[in-house]
Amino acid sequence: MAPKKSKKSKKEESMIDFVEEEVTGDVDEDDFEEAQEQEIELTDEKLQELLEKYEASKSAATKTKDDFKHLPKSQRGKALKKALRKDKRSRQEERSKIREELGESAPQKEVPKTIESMREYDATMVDEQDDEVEHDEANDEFAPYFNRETSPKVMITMTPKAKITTFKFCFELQKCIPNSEMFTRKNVLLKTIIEQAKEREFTDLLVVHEDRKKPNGIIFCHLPEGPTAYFKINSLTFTQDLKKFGESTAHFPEVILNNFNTRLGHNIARMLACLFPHDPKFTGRRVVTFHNQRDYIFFRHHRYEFKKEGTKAALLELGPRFTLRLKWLQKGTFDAKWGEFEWVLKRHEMETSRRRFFL
Amino acid sequence: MQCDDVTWNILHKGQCSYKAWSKPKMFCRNEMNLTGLCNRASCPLANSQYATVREENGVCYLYAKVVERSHYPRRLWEKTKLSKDMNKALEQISDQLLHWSEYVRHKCKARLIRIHQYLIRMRKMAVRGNQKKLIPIGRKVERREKRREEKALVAAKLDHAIEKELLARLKQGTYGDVYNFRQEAFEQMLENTEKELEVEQEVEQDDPDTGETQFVADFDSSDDEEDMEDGGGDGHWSPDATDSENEDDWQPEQEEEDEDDEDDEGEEGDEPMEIEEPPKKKVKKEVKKKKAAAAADGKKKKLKKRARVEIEYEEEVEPRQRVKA
Repeated sequence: MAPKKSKKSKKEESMIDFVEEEVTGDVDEDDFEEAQEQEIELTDEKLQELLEKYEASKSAATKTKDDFKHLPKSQRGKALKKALRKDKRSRQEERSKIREELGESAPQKEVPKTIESMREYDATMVDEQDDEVEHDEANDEFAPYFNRETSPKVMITMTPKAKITTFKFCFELQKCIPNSEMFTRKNVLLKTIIEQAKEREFTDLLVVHEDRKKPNGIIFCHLPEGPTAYFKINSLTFTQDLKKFGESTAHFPEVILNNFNTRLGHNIARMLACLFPHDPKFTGRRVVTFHNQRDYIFFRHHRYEFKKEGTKAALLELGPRFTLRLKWLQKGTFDAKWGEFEWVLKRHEMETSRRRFFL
Repeated sequence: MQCDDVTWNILHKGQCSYKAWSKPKMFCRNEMNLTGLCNRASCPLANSQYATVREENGVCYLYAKVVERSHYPRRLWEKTKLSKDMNKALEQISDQLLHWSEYVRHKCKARLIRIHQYLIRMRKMAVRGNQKKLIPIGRKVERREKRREEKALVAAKLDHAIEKELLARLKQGTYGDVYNFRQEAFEQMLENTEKELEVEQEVEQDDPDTGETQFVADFDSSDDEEDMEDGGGDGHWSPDATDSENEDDWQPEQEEEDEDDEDDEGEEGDEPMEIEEPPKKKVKKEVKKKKAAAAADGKKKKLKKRARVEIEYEEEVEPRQRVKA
């Protein structure tokens, strides 16, 4: 209370008009507190009892492995596990009952500790309204796209002598990304391709790599001078292999970019956003999602429909699904030898903890 | 000391660690081999007079061994650096191996040419700069990544996340006019309820009339009063006023419905009354006459008259005819 009062005294000095109101407010609070105290006093002993009970039911398991000595050794473990599970459930119910009894004064429910919530602190985490970041983003390579100076035009190509699955994947990509053209590589160097693409005013270049006849990586190069990223492709499922799928349409899709929080993540998200044209056609109800979870970027392609007066959205999957994992990010266009790497995934240095993420 | 035939016999028929069995020919793994084949002429172990060409770091050397130095294993091979120019190198070889067998000389030259070819190709590839770099894939790392990906996928709850984002956008108004769930629907609802309220009020206004019709027993006595009321009503329904097209759409419909209902009720109700009270029949007959007279008028009028007729008070009203006349 002491610091509060000091603040108020300062306020009193500065603004005399509000003093009365504040004083009345104070009085109200005091009354309220008194009332609360009375309540607490009334049920104090019972409350303590209940709280103790609550804590006890949280920690103690009532079964141990000694309870199952009558069983043969091979069955003991299973039986113990089953009993413990049952025990846990019963204790949960007990706690919920105590919680009901306690009402408002119940202790806070514990938040489950997930990998996400326990994530290690990253210094480059981007807040909203960060002037420095905003300034950076206003002047980076993607700024022309976001200022609507350029409209995206994407070139898709693959490794020389690509096999059929890679072609299939490229076709699917072409379906997802409007304004994209596919070219076979024909053993042309990547650097010359980049030059040619620049001449023809492409804004992005995608190169699909393959290994053992299956696409396993994708180079993503923003043109004319933008950064280059290499993603690994995991768990690729083609449209035809999905359990239920719809036909894609030619409408410009919306883009959802979820969970890109750090500075690097922002960059990647902006890069991915650059693939798709401005002004999505909302009547097409197509949506392309890049969802980042624990540094894995999940790609999904859906058609949605709002139901129940806009309280629910039904989804129908359209395109392929795959997972991307960033391996490196390079300034400038592709240059494996002399390029300046902004970020490279180094296993031994960087994967020190499972709760450390970079995107 | 050197018995090449004996050596060859042993190697060929027995054990030779350089032999590489592969169909259709047998190869030799000895790096000094001139042709790479396993046969009597090109076996570096079973020939005491032998020559070959080797490339070391892009430079070609001619290696030759003669039987005279065979007791000095350390100095067995005579190594001559060959010129970078292939033609000169070929000349060098033919000079060096002047009195050697045609087979060795020829094969050395062939080997030199082959080496030059692959050197040229190597240089070209280096200049072109599309060399591939092979990177090993850690099996364990791969497995771990896959496992973590599965877990991440479960934690992501993708469909839920996407749905949430879409609904957030809908709330934000990103979609503009495409959907009219929220505000517009609400406004429409408001308007509808207002209309309904009005309708209800008007219906309530009608109700007392219907209520009056049901009090049948009072008819004769109350006729006069009702006449008065209906006189006012007739004024309403005079030809000018009866064309109620300008009024709201919902009103006529509802009225008509109401009136139809009333028709049935009225008629049903009337019959028992008639038995009790003969004068009513007269009334009805009069009404029919009126109807015939009014048949000349428009259908709308007819309808409305009919409606009024069945309320019965109107029909009794004679003044209406007078008005029309």
